Parts: sequence; C-alpha cells; structure tokens
Amino acid sequence: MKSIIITFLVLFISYIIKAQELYPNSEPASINPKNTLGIRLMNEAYLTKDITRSWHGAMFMYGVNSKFMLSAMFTTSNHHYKSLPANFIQKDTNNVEYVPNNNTTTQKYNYAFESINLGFRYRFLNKDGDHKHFRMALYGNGVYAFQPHDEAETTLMGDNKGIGGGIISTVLINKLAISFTGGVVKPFSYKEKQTTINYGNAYNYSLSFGYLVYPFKYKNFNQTNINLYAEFLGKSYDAMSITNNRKDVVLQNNKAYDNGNYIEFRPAIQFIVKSNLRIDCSTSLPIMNKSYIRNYPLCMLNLQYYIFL
Amino acid sequence: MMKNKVMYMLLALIINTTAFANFVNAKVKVTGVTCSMCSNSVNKALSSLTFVDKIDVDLENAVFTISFKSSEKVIIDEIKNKIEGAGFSVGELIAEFKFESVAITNDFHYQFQNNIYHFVNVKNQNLNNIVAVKFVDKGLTSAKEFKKYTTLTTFKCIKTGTTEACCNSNIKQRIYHITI
Repeated sequence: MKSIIITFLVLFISYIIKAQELYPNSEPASINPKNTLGIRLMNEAYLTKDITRSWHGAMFMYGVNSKFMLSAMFTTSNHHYKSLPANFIQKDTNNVEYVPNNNTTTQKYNYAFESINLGFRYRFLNKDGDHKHFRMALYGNGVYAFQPHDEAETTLMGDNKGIGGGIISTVLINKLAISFTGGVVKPFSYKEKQTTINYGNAYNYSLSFGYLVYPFKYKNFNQTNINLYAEFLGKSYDAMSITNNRKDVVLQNNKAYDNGNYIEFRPAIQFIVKSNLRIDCSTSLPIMNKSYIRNYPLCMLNLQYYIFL
Repeated sequence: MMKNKVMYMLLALIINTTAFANFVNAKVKVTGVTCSMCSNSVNKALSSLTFVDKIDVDLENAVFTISFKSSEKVIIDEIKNKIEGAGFSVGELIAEFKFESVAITNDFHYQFQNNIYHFVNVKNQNLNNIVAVKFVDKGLTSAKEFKKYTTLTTFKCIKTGTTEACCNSNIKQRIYHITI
C-alpha cells in the first residue's frame, strides 16, 4: 500500500513539475549562449567557533560558439593565512619535525585575494528532441592560488594551485532533468621558503536533479520562475605530505591531513527574475562522512546575470 | 545597348525589392529549451538578426513566431545559426511565403533571392497568395523528419543541402528543401 502511494506521489509530482538544469552547485553539459557574457557572483559562508568564514567568487563566462565557452573566476576568502605561520612546523624533544594536530597559532585569517581560475567547457554531444535532450560536455580548469592550504582535501575554488577536468552528462526526459559529473583535481605543491606541501589528487562526482515549481505555465518573460534542486556531491581525495628542507615532516594524527571521502546533500531554491537574473540559495549537509575543510551547514548565495553582447 | 543594360538593371532591382516581400513570417519550434531564461537567450539572439522585425514567443511550447522586415533579405540558415548559438536546436520551421502564381510540381526547384527552394513530396498545383511551407533540411527540422523526407525524393541534394548533379545547376549553392 505504502509503495503504491509513493509511486502515485512520484508520478503525480513528475506530472505537475518541469525539469530544470540550471544547477546551483554543479554545471550542466549545456553551455553559455554564444556572444553572451554571463556574470556570476558566488558567496559561501559557515560558522566556526570564533569567526564566520566566508568565500566570495566572481565568475565571467563567455560563449565563443554553440559548443565552446570560456570562463574566468576570481576569488577571495578568509579561509587562509597569508603565509604559513612561524610555528606551523614544530620540533619535538628528539628534534623530529612535526605539524601539530591542533592549530596553536594566533595568526589571523584575513580576507585576501585568493585565486584566479581559468576554464573552458566543450559540449561535444547534443541530441535535442521534443521535451527531451541529452548533452555531454568536457570541462577543464587551471588555477593559480596565492595562499597556503594546510589540509589534504584539494579544490580548484581558491584553495590550491592546479589543474582539473572532467565529463558532464545531462539528460532531460519529459519533466526530469538529471546531470552527472565526474572529475579529477590534480593539485600542484605549495612551496614557501624551505617548506613544501604536497597534495594528493581529488576525484569529484555529482548527481543533480532539478524541477520547476512555478509558474505552472510559462506566459511571459517577466514571470519570476521558482526552481527546486536536489544535488548530491561526492569527493574522495588522497592524503597530503609535507617536507621541510627536503626532509619529511611528521603530520600528527588529524583527519584533515589524511585521505578521505564524503557525500554531501545540497538542496537549493532558485529564483529567476525577468528571465535573466538568477538567484540561487542553497545549503550543504553531509550524508556520508564529511569534509574537513568546512563546517556544516554551509550557506550559499549565488547571483547570475547575462549580458547579451 | 548601354540604355538596355541600365533598364535591365533597374528591372532586376524592382523585381528583387518586390521579391523581398515574399517571406512573411516564420514559426520556429525550438527544442531543448526548458526554462524562460533559455527562451530569453533564443529571443535575444533572434532579435539581433537584421531581417527580423518582431518576435512573438509562445514560452510554454517554445515556439517563436518571427515577422520579417519587408525591406531585408531573409536568410533561413541565419535563424538556425542563432538558435544553435544559444545552445538549442530547431525542431520545426514553417514559413509563410507569398507566392504570385507559381506552378509547382514534385521536386520543382524554385529560384528566389539567390537561393533555390526545392519542393519535396508535393502535388502539382498552382501557388497563389500566402502558403505555409515547412523546411525539411537537416538542422531545420527534427532528425526524424529530415530522415523521413530524404526517403521521399530521389534527389541527392536533400542530403547535402547544396546543389548536386540532380539539380542541373553548374554553381554550387545552398538549396533549401520545403514541403507544403
């Protein structure tokens, strides 16, 4: 009986809703329209014991042609030290160098220009049909980050210097839009004076669903659209290692230094005003393990606007 | 001789300017569109075409009705390019064409504004006044429809979209395939 009700509910919901693929926390295989500049302002915040940590990014996207787009992102945050603290590496009584498992520095996390990220997306497959489509795209990013990152999990959102890329498949069947992304992050080492931090690769994957909840019928471009999204973002990453004067430094037991994997659930609500201004509000909750480079819940607010050149 | 040449040129100009008025509008069904933001991109892209006068959008069905400026030459491929540039595809394109007593037969090649329009799968008839013609070329209709129409003519030009040996033309040029 229960399964019948659930099946009925799912069928009913899928009947009244429409698919949407403007995912707030991942990119679809579709690309920026040709000769159009997309500007996205991204904000992310979470609380720690002492301060509110926040991250801000400005992304500029340009559609070169119907299959290829370029992007440039500039980020700032209060996530990092300007440089490694003086007491980052300590010595024990046997003169063995180690990084303590708890941060004892009093150095402050100030806002600083964090990174420049240049990227592309290439849509290599496009099958459009009536009320359905299937698209596949390749993406790649190269990042120059300026500040030290002292945790094993790497990102190309401002934490690490490095390159990354992957593949995206987006399918829309009737009223359900599903997108799958699989990617890899290959970070470069961080070097400061005699200290080198080596990071392992990270592998990211995501599964996203999107629905239009309002309006029931599109009438004109001035109607505000409301969309709901459910996204699942997973990541696995290798451990980090540190050398000082070319000698290995012991990393005290801390999960942030170790390899790991996790899956987050990211629900989101999206408003599209006058068919151009996109406002995404989302949060992130861990559903399997968790990330050690942030606290939960994570709050995100993105704004996006297209300029038709 | 010179006078004749000038007269001929003037005549050609008059014929051409009146001929430009022959495209009235086009109804384009765009596939792959899922949001009003996507429709907006298509609308903006189509609006940038010099021969477009006005666009009426049926957002629910992603159907764009484009009215053309009578003074400008209409290039159907440009409509397709703009839609594809915005990231979508043409699912169906039906244009209203003003004919002035044009007798057509199946596989008739109609020369108009430096383009050839090939009538596919039509009965012998005399076209007068406004007639809705459907484009069946690759990229101007769904893949399924295009495939269907390639089997409805023995002419090879439907596959390439340019004049072939079948067209009795020495110049390689665009040939649109239309049906009624």
